Amino acid sequence: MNATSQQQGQGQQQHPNIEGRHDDDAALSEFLASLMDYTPTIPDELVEHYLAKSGFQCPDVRLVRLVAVATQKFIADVATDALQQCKARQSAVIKDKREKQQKDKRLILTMEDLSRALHEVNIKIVLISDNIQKSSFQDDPIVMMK
Amino acid sequence: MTCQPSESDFSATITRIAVAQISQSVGYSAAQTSALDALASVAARYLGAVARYAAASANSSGRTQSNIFDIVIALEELGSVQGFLGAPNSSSQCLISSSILKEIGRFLFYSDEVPFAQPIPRQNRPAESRKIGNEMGLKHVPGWLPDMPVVDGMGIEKEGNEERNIGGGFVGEERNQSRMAKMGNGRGKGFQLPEKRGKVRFRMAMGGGNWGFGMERRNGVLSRGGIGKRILCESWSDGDGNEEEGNKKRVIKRSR
Repeated sequence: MNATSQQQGQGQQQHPNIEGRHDDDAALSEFLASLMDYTPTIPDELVEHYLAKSGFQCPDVRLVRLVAVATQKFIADVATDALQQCKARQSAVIKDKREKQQKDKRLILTMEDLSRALHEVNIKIVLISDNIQKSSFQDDPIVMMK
Repeated sequence: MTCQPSESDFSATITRIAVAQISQSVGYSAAQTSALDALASVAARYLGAVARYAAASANSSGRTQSNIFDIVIALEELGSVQGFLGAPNSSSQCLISSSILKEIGRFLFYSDEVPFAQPIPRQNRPAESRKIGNEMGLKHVPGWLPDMPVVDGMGIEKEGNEERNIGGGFVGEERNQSRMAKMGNGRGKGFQLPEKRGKVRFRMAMGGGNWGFGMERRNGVLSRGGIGKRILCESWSDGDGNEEEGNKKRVIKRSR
């Protein structure tokens, strides 16, 4: 009795792995399908242009969408950081209520907030000349951390 | 005459619009021009970096086409600076447990859709129109090469609106035009005028609609041509088998 129950236990241990894989595959396919439902702000054509420029080759549209959504998330995160910086600066200045409400309606993306937010992601904004500003993306973030 | 904007200006403008929309969806109502330009440049570089890492990851695995694993690896490499919740992708488990995908899933779920503001004209992609194998059946030509350009008997490539010799033009344009010429031929049959040509019959009734690319269809006859060219038009009879009497062979000449 013990031996058979042990065998059954082992058999059951193997099966959940395989079934678990099927579930994972199905979940992944569902995730990719949900990607197609969502229309990213960055249009597919633009993403494909930049991908092709850098040597990325893929006939699958879902992966293009994935990259578009990932980039949108990245930019949204940076913008959210900058927004929080902006709001933090506004709340630090104590003025009467009316003025503060007026300022809250006009949140402007400034260079200052943006550079602080980008600093979190290891991107430096460098002022080259009086007129031109250039942003440099550190290609190898691991190296920069050292 | 103003100089034409370069291709990079076009993509940069579109990127700027998209980034402006994203920052608006986050809560901003306005932006400094320089800040917007900087953020757009960052977005473009991020896209390029993801592509480069994904392509490198695919190449190091002996593939030329990237798949979802390559993308996840690329995103993890780019996200490792800021950090992300959860563990990175381990190859033994399925990708769905990757935290990057989970974060993206959370982003998809919680954020509203903001589609791009304006429609973008889609370029004709030669990859879509490229057929596998050669239509002319040239067996010595490998199948992975693009199609031969469509050439009629006079050695001039059939064009959209104007004639051009084969020597000039870019490859992409040739493919475009060869595609259009093929569509113009209807059945795409025979690139050279045969010696004995059938009589061409036309009916002046206005049956059929206009095709998208400026051709008229009169009862199944497609007429298309350049300047001063003879065209082989094939007519096939109507469904009920009636054919016009009084056959005439018609030479279409267009002059400017």
